[in-house]
Amino acid sequence: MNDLSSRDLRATLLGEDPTRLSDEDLLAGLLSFSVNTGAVPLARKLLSACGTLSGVLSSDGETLRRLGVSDHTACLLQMLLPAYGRALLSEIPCDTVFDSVAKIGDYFTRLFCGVTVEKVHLMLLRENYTLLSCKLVAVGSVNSANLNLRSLLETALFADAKYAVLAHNHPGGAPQPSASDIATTVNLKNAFESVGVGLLEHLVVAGKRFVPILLSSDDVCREVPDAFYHFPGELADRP
Amino acid sequence: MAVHTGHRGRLKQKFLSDSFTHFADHEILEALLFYIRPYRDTNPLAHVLIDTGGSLSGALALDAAHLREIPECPVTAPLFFSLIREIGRRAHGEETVAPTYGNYTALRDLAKRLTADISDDRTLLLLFDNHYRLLGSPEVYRGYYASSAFRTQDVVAPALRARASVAVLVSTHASRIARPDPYEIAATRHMASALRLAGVTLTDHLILAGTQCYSVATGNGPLLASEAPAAKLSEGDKSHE
Repeated sequence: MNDLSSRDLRATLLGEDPTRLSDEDLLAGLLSFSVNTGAVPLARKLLSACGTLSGVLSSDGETLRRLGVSDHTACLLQMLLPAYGRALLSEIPCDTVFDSVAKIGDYFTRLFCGVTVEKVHLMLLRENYTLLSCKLVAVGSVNSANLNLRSLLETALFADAKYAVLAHNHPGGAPQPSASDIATTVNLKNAFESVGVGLLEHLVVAGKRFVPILLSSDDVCREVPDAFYHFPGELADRP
Repeated sequence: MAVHTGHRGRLKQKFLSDSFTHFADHEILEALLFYIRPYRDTNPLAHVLIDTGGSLSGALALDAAHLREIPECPVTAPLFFSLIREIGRRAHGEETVAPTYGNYTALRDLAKRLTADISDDRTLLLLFDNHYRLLGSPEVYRGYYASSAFRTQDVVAPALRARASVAVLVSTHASRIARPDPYEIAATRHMASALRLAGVTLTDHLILAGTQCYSVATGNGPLLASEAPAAKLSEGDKSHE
């Protein structure tokens, strides 16, 4: 199996249900499009060094090079999750009404798919909760040194936004808000209120999970109806 | 690193510098198609696939029957797209918590793993974010690192590019002596100040030789098994020589 040519490997994978293939087979299959032989041993080596599929796909170029991966192959591995994320985003219609945390959180989990550095995005919504814009506002952690508050307020004001949502990711980590995430959010909410914009939430995103910071505090945006926090499939009344 | 020329090279470089931020959906598909259509322009095919599928997601979800009907679409496209969908689905849904290296033992073990097959004098720069998750480990120098040829920009530039908050230098000593000489310690402090100006904290410099590891920040040698995070290098010379 080790010296199977990529062409032969692809032939064995054709017709197989991909959901039934192991991580190693899937990765070997992908690598077979970039190397002529040795896709299987390479897949095994990468998974053993990086632990999981997402570990392999989020590795930086230098790490991959040191594992014996060519630039050509490294590029394919690094492109995969960001491309998948963009495909996920392309499924969201532009006239979507973002009137619940579930929809907003889902949007951001798609946006942050394959992003390996911490980024902060500001989503601006009209009064009917349709999307005005969703811009990158900072790279790095959410702390006052990084976020230009004035610039955030100007962006919201000049776009005539009624509502705003802030979101940042924890790459490869848990979506638990840190103390500085929470403190920053409260300040931001007050600042946005002063220019007439409702900061609906600040989400922390990791993988497919997200945590709304304001929900668990006393500072839930006043203008948010109860249904905003209704997650499909859950009981309607929250404690 | 190979010099990238031409359209494909430019597209790849654009991706490597800022991911798909400035890519249109069809350009993303075009870049993926490089791997199944190595010798022809993939731009027209990317447009046709997105028009047929309705969106980037729709294009990647086209089944084999539809793909067969598209002129110039490679026969390997159905397998390629189905692998991308399934790998993306699994990796996106994986519960990953990246390891953190905020304690000396984890850091030392990481340094040993990364230098396992190095047999000459080299220096790596381990880069971490605020939570001590590893961002990268570029090699920044080969040879005696206290030489003037090792410049501050060789550590500051990679640290800024990776957007690191914390850095740790790791040097291997081919001489198999895990101790820095006074010039090497001075060089480390010099790098620490340069990094501090750039907003990156150099928390330690590990010297590895054979199986031994010496921490410049704490002055602790091969017998150390402490779990305490390393002290900052701004606090003077900790060498016991």
